Amino acid sequence: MNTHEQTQSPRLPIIVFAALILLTISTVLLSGLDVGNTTSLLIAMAVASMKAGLVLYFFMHLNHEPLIFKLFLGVAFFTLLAIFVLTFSDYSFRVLA
Amino acid sequence: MTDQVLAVEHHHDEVGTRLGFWLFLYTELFLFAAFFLVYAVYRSSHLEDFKLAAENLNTTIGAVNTVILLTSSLTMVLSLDALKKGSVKLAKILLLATVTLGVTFLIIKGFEWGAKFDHHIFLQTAKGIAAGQGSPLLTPGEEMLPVGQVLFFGLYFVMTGTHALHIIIGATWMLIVYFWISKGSINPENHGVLERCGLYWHLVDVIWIFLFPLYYLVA
Amino acid sequence: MDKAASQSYLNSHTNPKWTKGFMSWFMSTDHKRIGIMYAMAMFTFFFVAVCLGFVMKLQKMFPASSGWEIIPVEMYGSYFTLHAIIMIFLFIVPGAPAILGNFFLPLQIGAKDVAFPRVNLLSFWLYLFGATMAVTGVLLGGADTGWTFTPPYSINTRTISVLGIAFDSVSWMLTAAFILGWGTILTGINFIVTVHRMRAKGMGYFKMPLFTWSIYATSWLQVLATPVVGITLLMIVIERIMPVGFFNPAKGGDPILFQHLFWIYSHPAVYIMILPSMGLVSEIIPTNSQKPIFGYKSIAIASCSIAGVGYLLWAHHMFTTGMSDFAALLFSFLTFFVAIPTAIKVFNWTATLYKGSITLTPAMLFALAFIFNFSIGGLTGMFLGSLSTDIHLHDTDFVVAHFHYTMFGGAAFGLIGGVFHYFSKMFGKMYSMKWAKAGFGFMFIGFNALYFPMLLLGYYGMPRRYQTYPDIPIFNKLQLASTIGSWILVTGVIIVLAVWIHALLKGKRTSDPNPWNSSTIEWQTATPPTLFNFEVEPVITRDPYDYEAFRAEVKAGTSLGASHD
Repeated sequence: MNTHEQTQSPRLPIIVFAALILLTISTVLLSGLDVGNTTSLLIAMAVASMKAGLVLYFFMHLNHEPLIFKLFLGVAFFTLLAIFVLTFSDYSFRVLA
Repeated sequence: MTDQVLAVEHHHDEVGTRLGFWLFLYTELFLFAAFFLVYAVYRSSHLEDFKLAAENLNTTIGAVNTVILLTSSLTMVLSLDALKKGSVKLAKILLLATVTLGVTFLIIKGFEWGAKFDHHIFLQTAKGIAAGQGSPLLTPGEEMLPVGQVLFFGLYFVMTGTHALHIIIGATWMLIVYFWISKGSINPENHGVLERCGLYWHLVDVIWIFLFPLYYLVA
Repeated sequence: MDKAASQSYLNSHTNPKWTKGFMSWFMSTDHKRIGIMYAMAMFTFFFVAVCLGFVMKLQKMFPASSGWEIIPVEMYGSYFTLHAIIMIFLFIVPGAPAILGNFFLPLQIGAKDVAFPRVNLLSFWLYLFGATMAVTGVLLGGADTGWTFTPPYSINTRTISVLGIAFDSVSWMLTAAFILGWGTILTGINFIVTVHRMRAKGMGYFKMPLFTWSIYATSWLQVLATPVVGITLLMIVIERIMPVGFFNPAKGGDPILFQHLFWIYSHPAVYIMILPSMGLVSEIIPTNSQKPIFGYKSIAIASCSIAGVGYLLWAHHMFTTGMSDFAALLFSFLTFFVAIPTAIKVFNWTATLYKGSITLTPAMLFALAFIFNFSIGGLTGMFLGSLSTDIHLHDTDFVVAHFHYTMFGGAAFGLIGGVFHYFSKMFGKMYSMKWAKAGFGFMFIGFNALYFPMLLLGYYGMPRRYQTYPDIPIFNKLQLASTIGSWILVTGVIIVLAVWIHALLKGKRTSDPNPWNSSTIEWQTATPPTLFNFEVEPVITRDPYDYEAFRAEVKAGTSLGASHD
């Protein structure tokens, strides 16, 4: 695959970096908002996911990789999702005496 | 009947090697995922205690550390780009910058942990609860931490500790790569090892991206 | 014929430094040698664990009131723990992928080796290191926690070593399991990349043989499930050493959470155990029926489905622990789904036999026995997956019989059949057909005589992991029958191992590339294969089980059939 050998100018990584810093600042500020616990957690996880996504896609060059790399990521992601959801099918529904 | 020795023709598959390395990164991700799952379960059943415990963590220091690690990811990416373009010297400088930022992160973490120990958090209090008696390391009159907080701090130390271990591994690997670049075995035509080292480092960064809000932004 | 032998992988090396003796094996990155080394180690450990099981059954021969005691009650826990740790972590989980997967995956897809040969050797070293740790752990005090290491017992228990010193042997065993896990993870990564990047020209994914498909599905389970249990076991070690509260209820932890994390691996682990053997059955049956397998595509997809669905079932091991009723219902519901792709395979194998030209080679006998044993094992699983019946059957001998029917009668029988199928290809020697079939007979009869009574014992209420039982006529009869069954089974195991050892040392040399007239391309290599497997890189033009096309090729001289030499 030749696309991977394309050399990048430092512009794109620096823009991505700036976005990451902005997202970090936002998540700190947003955590001070007076919303419910669940909403606060969801916001924090959403921002973290965006940051992780930027790192995966741009810093780790997933944008240049063949489709199979993204398929593998999908498999890992959905497996993790299943593990969390199914574990909470126990914990969210426990009836405490 | 004498044995024969045959040379292996090395069919170098960069994409395949990278694919295999991504799979290895997923195994690391799943290692941390187990910790995150334990965290999630205990947070959902001890939320108020988690919030109280998290007040002992300094959000500013956590944010500074986050910025340090994000910057180190940037320098890592730029180092790889520099090497691919042929700027070997710049690549080495950026690589060293990455290591320095990683070590800085560790030093700050070390101070954070030290502060916890000074406040008798972690070992003593958990011991006290288990034995049902006062711990010898607690000064008389000092109170036991509630259960939810004990869980929080146990997870805090083990998760950030495991993360720190991965920073040490990553930084060590980078120093080895630095040495190999100096020797010339890693060079613009042959940069796979640096690339994979970078991928590992970015994963360490991604783990912290999730650790930061879960420990420092709970209160 | 001497020329062929002198050019095989057994007389060829890639590293001029290591061409003689032990080091030429221990330092070899040749996937074929690595597979053989795994086989030697694994079947040795298997035999040790069989002996432990033999003694356990001997202990259970007569009830407590008779005064019969072979294993004192305080030792019994260590026996079944070690038996299980060896069987599961040292034999059947790494098992077929390590031995036959290593040897035959590259051959089945027309490749020279796996994607990462040096990592492959590292996997073997990790296996050997972890295995040695586990076995020496016995001297250091072992573990009496069961292979499931359930807290709080696994956190609090302290053992005294055989040498009389207090030593944290439980942490030692846990660390051994962690290291072993890394061996299987690296093998899984290796195989996934091999399948994606190293198939021969013309071999699209749906032209790969079914053993390859099964190894591929298994590898995904190895990669994604093993890390979770690895770190969970380390969490127990941490809790033993440091006063954190992960799973210890005394510190506010939830022991059920450990069980969730443990079974998130250990349930997919059973699919790691069974899928490769199913793949072997999918090779043996069409070969010994001389016709295409029925429903190739559905078996391939079923392998991946079993792996995928198998991820979602883990808490059916935990129905009685105290988790939520909703979770119990959900997991029970999901558990029934995995029966669908599994049943599809059984139906397809059976349909393959119809109007086939059947040859009852030893491999075929084991494959047919697989279908029989695994069907019983799978069906008994239904009773365990149903909440109401599980309440009564959980933690009884019914469970023990269920998993032995699937893992031993299924996975191990399949692996043994696979070794018989591929033996001559691997070693260039042939074994005694007569004695192989005799070994099969003893194993099959002994196996069912040993485990079927345990289904009944569990139904009648006999708990598992108990050193003895009360003097009740039905218990006495069934336990005695089961113990005698174990003697017949062990006789069979000894015969099978002796057949292989005899063949290795004194067996008739053969260079027949394709003794069973099989259509898949691993047979288009020399017997034993040369160092790089294929002299000319194969180009695939037909489906793997297209026996009509294969017979035409043999006639035209472009493929090697059975040469009856």
